[in-house]
Amino acid sequence: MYHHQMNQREKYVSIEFLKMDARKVLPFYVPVLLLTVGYVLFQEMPLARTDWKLNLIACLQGMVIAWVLFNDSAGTEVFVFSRPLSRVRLFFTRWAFGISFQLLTISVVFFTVAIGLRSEIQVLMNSPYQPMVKWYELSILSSIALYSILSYEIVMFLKLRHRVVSVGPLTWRDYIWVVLICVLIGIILTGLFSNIGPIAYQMMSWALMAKLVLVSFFAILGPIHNLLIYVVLVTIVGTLASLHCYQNMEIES
Amino acid sequence: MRHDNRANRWVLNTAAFVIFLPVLLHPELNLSITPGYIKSLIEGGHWMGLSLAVVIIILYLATIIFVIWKGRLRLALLTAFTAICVLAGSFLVHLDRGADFPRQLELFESTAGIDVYCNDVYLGKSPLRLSESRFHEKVKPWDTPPRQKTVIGETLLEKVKSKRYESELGWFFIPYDYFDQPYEFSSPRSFSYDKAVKSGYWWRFERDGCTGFAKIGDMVWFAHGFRQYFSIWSSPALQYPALDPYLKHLLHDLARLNYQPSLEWIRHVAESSGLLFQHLYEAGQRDSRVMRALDAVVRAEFGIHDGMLAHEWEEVLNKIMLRVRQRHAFRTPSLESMAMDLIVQGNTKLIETHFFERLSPSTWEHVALKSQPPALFKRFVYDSRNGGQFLVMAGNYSRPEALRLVRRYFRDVNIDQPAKGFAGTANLRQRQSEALITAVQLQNPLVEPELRDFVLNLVKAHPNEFDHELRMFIDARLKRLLADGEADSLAEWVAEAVPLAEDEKLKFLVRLNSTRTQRYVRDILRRHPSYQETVLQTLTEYANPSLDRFLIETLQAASEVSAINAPPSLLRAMILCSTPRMHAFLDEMWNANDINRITLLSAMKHDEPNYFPQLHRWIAPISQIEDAGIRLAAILVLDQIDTPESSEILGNWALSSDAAVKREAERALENYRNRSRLARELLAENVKPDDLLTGQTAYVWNGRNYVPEAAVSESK
Repeated sequence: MYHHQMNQREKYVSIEFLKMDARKVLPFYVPVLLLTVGYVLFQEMPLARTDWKLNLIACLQGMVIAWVLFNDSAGTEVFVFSRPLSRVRLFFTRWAFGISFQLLTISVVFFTVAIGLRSEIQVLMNSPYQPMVKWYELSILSSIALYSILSYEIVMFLKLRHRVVSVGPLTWRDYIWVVLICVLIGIILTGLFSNIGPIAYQMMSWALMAKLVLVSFFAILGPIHNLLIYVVLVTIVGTLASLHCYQNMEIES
Repeated sequence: MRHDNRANRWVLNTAAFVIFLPVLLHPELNLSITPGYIKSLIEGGHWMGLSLAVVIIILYLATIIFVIWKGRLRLALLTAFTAICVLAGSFLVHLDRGADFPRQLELFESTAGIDVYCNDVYLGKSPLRLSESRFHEKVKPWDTPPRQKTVIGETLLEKVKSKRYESELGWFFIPYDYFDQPYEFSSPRSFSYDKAVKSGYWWRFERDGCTGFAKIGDMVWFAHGFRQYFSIWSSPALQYPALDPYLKHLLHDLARLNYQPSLEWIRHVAESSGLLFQHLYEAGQRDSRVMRALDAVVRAEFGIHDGMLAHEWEEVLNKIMLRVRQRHAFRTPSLESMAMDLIVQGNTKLIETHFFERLSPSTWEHVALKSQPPALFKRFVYDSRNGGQFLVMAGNYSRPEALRLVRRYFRDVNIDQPAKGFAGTANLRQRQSEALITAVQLQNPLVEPELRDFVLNLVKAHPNEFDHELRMFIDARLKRLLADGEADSLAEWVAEAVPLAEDEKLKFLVRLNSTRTQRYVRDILRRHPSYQETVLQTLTEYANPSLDRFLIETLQAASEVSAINAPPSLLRAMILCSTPRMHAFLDEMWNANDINRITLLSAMKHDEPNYFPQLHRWIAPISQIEDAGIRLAAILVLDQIDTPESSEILGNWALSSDAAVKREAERALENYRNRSRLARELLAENVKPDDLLTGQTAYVWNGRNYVPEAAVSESK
């Protein structure tokens, strides 16, 4: 009976908690979603995995969601952490909520392309590629997902790590550093996995570290799979490390 | 972090390290600095390269320490990018001071199968990659320049003294030190005959038993600092003097067997196809019997027979791809391309299934053009978004969508507007040049008018800048089979619109089988009578049935119906021009008198009569010749014909009562037997193609220059 009451209460708190997070995220998420859908609808050239603009928008989406979701003011923080939920539960609720926004974007993009909305608009705009390329364009879903999740995980980890490691709130310099790190990693990733993928793949396979850690994968997988491996690594390690940060965050009232 | 916080910093730092992995594994970073590279730097005394490598390694290690041990992400980021900048800087140093880094020679990067020797040390088959230290280990310089078996362009040798023609000579042993003078790598003007001769390194190239002669000017190499080696790339153009007699003997053997190739012939051509195939294919273009023989080679080599099943075709495809990988390229025409053409006929499903999975990218364009697999059109359209190969593949389909696609692409390559992006005008030029190459490669009559407009507008907007591409565009169209009416419209376009000099246009138009050509040729010759020789010379290379009336009238204007005063090029052009009108005219000439017969026979003598099937119509009349004088002229022609019919006539005439005819016929028969013997020896590989070169002058070094060997022995 007691456990049942506790579960009901936890559910209620979780829903309230999610509502609070949704109010925080939606004003930032909706414009990015509209930007993504607008780009998908009106980009005249066929959409491809190597479309750096779309990948950048995906990165932006992941960054925005992570930044807003895990950014609590001191007062909110005290409120959130005083709820009757374990920190593990709190963390995974938020983490999954962030992931679900990204899945929503992917679903919207999928239906936009698959039901032929994009194709119809492009035919009206006299695109010579449509409707022949419709199904090939769905390959963008994987890159949107990978880049969005990657940036989401990186920003989440860096933000929570900073919360544990540093004393005091983030200054404007910290913001610049985070942006700089994300942009540089973005540029390098674009170079590694998109534009010069085959060359990078060849070079990476020669690398000592790659030989030690990833060569068995790289030997059989193409460049896009390098990105996949990286994203999986970052997702597992980043999520666990972020959880570790979340569990050890010091909350002061 | 507070001292009592239970967060484990190793967990946090490891996660940060994983995020940093792409930065640490970035190709521009020190991944190319391997222990072997450091060893070669130390051994070669490349101290500058070594110090840079050490700096990069230290920065690299510091980055890892900053992340994993100290958790200092900002500092790590700065260090990693400093390492990238140092490495990028070292590339610039590579370019300016190649001597400070290990160097590597890369010869004939895209041509497989050339044997490379230096100072008579065998270095291996091309594509050849050799480090400087390994090269010096294997090859020791020669103090004295070697004896040259011969040179190409011997008559120029005297003029070499004036230094103006030295680049025209092709040497048996070609002198050059690739690793000397690293600062002059990109300037052909820095080469000199004297410097090259004193280098002490003498190269020799051989392919399938034929020595490839190179010119000093062609040894020019390009160099680039890339990864751990400063690479020197060189692919000198080679000429094979033995190739002509080699081909003649192979064709002789083929003709001797009535164009039914023997097993030895098939095996030999298949084994030496890298060198021979292109040339035999050209012979096949003029003589369908040679083409049938090549078809037999292809079928034998790949095990192709009638009524093959799907899995057997799949095996053939695998064999082709294996050969393409071994040869580092797919060439058209080649044994592989002909075999691929056989697969394409009626095996669309097989092509569709294995196109991306098994075919190498170098084969895609050829296969797509030949088969136009319907199921792959959408994929080609999708991949054509960046232009290039896929646009050509999609654009060649006979579908309206292809027309829209190509129209759109050429509309986007705007002629007048500067390109968007950072590269500005240079980028625009590059895109325009790429678009022109795409236009050259497209072979779709549906889009041809758009292509012509695009090319013309671009050429007119930038006078003289894209003339080369314009010539390529016209030449590509002349080389392929034009559909009905296409030749007329192309001729009209070349004559009226193309902004080239008149004589250049004339050369193109003479190759076009179109009524417009005749009008243009007459018109231009009225204004410039001196162009007549240009027209006739072109017609001796490219037969043009539409100009038969013009040729007949030219001959009549020169000498009524007599061949005696006609220019040889006119007679050769007439023999090549196989139309009923021309046959009737030549028959009339042949029957008119003995002088005509002798003149026509002489004209044929110069043109490899084996290539002209129409000649066989004349074998019978030749056998009926009774006059001794004409028989002597005919023997000169029959001497060039390798068929059994020809040797039969010679055999009959060798029994003639006329002493001169008997002697000449026996001599011709002896030649025939010698050619047969040599051909058999070649096929049995007892004789190398180089052994067919006779009467060549050897050259020796007299201390100052190369002089003919005979002159030196005489002076002694």
